[in-house]
Amino acid sequence: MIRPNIKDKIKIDEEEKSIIIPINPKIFALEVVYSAAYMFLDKAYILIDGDPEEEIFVQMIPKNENCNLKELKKMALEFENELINYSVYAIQAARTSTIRNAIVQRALGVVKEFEEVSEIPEKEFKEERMIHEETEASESLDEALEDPLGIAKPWSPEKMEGLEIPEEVKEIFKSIKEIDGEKHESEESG
Amino acid sequence: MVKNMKVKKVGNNEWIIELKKVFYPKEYIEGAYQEFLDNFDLKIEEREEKIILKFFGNLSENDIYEFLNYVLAKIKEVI
Repeated sequence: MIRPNIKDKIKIDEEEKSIIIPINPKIFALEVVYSAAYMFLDKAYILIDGDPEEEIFVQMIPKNENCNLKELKKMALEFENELINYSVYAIQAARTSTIRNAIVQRALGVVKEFEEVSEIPEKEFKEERMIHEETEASESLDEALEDPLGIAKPWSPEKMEGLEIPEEVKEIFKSIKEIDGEKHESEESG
Repeated sequence: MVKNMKVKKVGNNEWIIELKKVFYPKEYIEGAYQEFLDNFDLKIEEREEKIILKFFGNLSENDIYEFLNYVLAKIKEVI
């Protein structure tokens, strides 16, 4: 039995500048046909017709109106190549789907585990941080209350004992005592 | 018999093309048309397994093919 050449099945209309490619849907799925057509959307206008159960026809009208026969043939054969390309991709994707799902699930699982693990230290870290902040605050308060120079202590006359009093201050004290004495005398007489 | 699927000019500013519903689902055509609302008017008629598109506006044949390319791109992006 002599099988017809695939190239002979491709119909090229040089006058109309169009190519019609017949596709067996039992060999190439409709998704593959769409994917292959997608690759040519910038080079040609694509129309799809036929029967998805029996035979699909892809019509390509090159956007370049000066396309010659050779270029039309080349475009048709490139489309056939793309059909094979996307079929291989689809088969490989189907074969590796289990592995891909496993990888994705594992990746999601790892992320989930990481979130669970990272939640506990975060809580602990917050508590530790609060304790540290409290102790730090109390230490800084103690430091603030320390008074090595004695400048924070309130002044009182008792603390002046043993210190040399300047003459001017002595006079002031003296005058204050005199005033106080006069007050006492007037109160007693009154 | 394989025949050319060509858009036909039926009026002054009217074009018509028949497509297969199975390859060009109506919802994808409607979705794609949302991007072309300002360019032309489109009437969609469904007849059994066929879908008839009527374009109204100052359009060239290539404008219509470009729209159909856009429909295909939308379908491909979804499947």
